[in-house]
Parts: sequence; C-alpha cells; structure tokens
Amino acid sequence: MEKDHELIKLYQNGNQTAYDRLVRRYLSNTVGFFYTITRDKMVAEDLAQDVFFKLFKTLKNFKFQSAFSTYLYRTNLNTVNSWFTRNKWKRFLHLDQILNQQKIDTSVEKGWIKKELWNAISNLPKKQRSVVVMRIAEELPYKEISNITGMSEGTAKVNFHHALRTLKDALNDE
Amino acid sequence: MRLMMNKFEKKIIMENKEDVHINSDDFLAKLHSRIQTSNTNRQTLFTSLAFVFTVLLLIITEFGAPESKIENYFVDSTDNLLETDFWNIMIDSLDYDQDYYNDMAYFLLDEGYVWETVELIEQLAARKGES
Repeated sequence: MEKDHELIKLYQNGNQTAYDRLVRRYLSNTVGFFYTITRDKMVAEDLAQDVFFKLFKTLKNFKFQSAFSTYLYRTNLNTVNSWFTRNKWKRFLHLDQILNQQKIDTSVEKGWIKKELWNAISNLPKKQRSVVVMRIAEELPYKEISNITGMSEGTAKVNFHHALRTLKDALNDE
Repeated sequence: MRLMMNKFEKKIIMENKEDVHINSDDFLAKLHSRIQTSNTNRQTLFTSLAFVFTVLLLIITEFGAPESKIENYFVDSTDNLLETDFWNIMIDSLDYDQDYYNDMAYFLLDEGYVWETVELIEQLAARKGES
C-alpha cells in the first residue's frame, strides 16, 4: 500500500485517482470525527466534504514537512471551530429552544446528554476547545495535539485541565 | 482531584465513541461534482472579469470611436467673426481706394441722401488735402 506522501506526490503530478484513494483512506475517520461532535450524520458528511474540498485545493502546495494525518487533523480542527462559531449564532437566534434547554438541564443530573456536552464544549475558549476536541473526538496524545495546534505539550495539558474543570461545572458532574 | 479528572475524561471519551458508516463512492461522486462546479464558477468569474475589464478599457481609451473633426463644429479663430464692429476696424478710411468712395457716393445718391453725399465728397477732398 502506498504511503500518504507518495499518493500526494502522484496527485501533485496530475493523478486524480491518487487523491480519491487518499480520501477513501481517511473518509470514515474524518466523518466519524465530525459525527462525534455534531451528532448529525448529514452535517458530519457536509463538514467532511468541506475538508476534502479544501484539501483538494491546498494539497497541490503541500510541502511534505509534516505527516498528512497532522495536516488533515489541523484542517478538521479549523473546520470544526468554524462550525462551532456558526452554530453558536444559530443557537443564539433559535429562541424557541429555550424551553427544551431547561428540560435538558434537569436531565443532566440523571445521566449524560452528548448534545449538552458538545454545546458546553462549543462555549469554551478556542485554545481549550481545540485541545478538548482533539482529545475527546480523536483521542490523540498531547504530543500530536501540540503538533496540530502549534502549542507546547505543557500548554495543551493545562488547557485541557482547565477545559475539563469548566465542563464538569457546566454539566454538574458529581 | 487528578484521579477525578481522569475518570471524567475517560467517561466523556467513552460516551462519545461511535462508528459511522458512509458510502465512499457516493461521497466521492459528490466531492467531484462540487469540484467541477467550483471550477466552472471560477471560469465564469474570470471570463466576466475579463469582459468587464475590456469594456472599461474601451470606455477609458475611447478605442474604436471615430476621430472627431473639431473644425466642423466651431471656428478655431474667432477674431474675424467678433472683431467686425465698425469701431473695431483698425483700418484708416483713407486707405480705401477711390472706387470705394465712388460706390458709396452713388449709393447715397440712389437712396436720396444728397447732402450726405456732398458731405462725403467734401470730407474726402479735405482729407486728401491734409495728406
């Protein structure tokens, strides 16, 4: 099986099927990542489309300085951060959901509601959110997270710790 | 505290673990269609920009417009038209030749200005005498 960099080189030389093979290789992982966060298959697929559409354009200038997976995670992270921002405004404008929100808050005491968790994550500061997303949705080690986000391992750990504390408070977890 | 956090971390990771099945052929078909649409849109944009640029260039440079002949619309020198009032003529009346005075005298006689004719002849004679 060809390595990612070999496929990218082929794609850069005009071989479109090499790009298709690369997409197939990372498709389920990428859609799974977005599905974990959005809880909506359609939205997850749309976001994955956005990612691979962006990569189709940017991979032509790929410099082979990092692993393709790191590059892909970084694109995923940027895409999901944009989605969080968009979604925050949507939730802010959907005033009719205030009653439902109250129901969710009471049910959190009894058990986990994933949607509520990701709503709480979307309200975190960007750095904390990026680390949490990579850690929870992808289960990446801190070293990989520091490669993707550009922060040091220590900073990533501190951000994650602060984020967990905030989430714990937000979800009233005992 | 640290232990509690690790527990909480594991809990949310486990809660969020889910597999998604997706048809990669359908996904790729959609992706290719999107790429093609994007390329078409880009081509349309470039063509439109080139067209607008060409039109603007033609407007600015007036390229292709017939060369206008200014002399058809106004006279370059307006001196001759404007400076024809009697008091502006810078020519001494004595400079006119004898035929002019004769013609003027005949004209005045025809019109019945006898005394004016006499006066004209006298003035002419007087001026001739002066010069």
